[in-house]
Amino acid sequence: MTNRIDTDRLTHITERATMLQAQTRGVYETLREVQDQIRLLVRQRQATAMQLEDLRIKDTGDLERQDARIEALRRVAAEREKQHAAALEKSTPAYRLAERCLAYARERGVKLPTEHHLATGLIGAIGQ
Amino acid sequence: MKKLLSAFKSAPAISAADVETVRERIVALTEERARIEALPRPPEETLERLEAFLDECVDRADLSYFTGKFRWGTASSLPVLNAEGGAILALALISYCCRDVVMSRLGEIVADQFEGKQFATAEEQARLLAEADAEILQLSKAEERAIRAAEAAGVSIARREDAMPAVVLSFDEDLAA
Repeated sequence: MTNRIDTDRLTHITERATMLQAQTRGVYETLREVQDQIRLLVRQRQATAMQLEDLRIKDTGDLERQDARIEALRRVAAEREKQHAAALEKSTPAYRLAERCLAYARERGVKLPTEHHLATGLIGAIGQ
Repeated sequence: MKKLLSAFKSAPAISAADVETVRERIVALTEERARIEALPRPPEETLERLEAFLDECVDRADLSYFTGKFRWGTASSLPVLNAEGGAILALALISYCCRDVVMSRLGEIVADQFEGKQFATAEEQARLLAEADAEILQLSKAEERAIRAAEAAGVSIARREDAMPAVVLSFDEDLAA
């Protein structure tokens, strides 16, 4: 086996890892948005409940509507979590392989253009 | 394995299942490699190394320094030895007095430890490891050829994260078996 390195393939592997990482990050950001919305709605619901209690007003349906909205968003978040896990399952091995390939090429003196560097790191660690 | 590799050379259509078959073989061989790497040396070599260790204790133990420590003081204020120095000294003294008895007993213990167990000389182990490495390399190349063939046919098969960079980054012509 020769020690020649196909730099086009290195680029391909690195770009694929970067693309999968970007997809994972995208899914993760949509998950974060939904989780933020849920937190906001939960706070609003608590405020509504306190107002109704202060005014000694029976629930006019506001709380029920807010509960339903929160529940719906929780289902969306659960779905997004599954998507994120699936994306992570694809991107993590690709990222690790790309890292090892880059290190292998570097050790053999292959000069890498800056776009070959994986700058973003693994997505899975964010916020977890 | 030759059958498996030749199937990858000639098969026009490569499926993910085919790649999976090669991967399973690579995993099995990698485990076998780890087992070979962990093989102990033969009992005779183990005993040779034990004897060499006792020789080293004899060489390292400074008996005149040891006896010198007792030239002063009283019976109630004995000199203190550190653990390593004490152990070396004890083994050296035992070796002076009864090397044959010690080696005979160690031989019995080693024989019991090796009863029914596999072992390899350094040369045997190196040969077995080289064989396993060569086979893993051939399978890795077959796997990479299959992945590239699938890619050319428009099917994307993810590479393993522990794939060999040397194989993954090689040119097509260097992947020939």
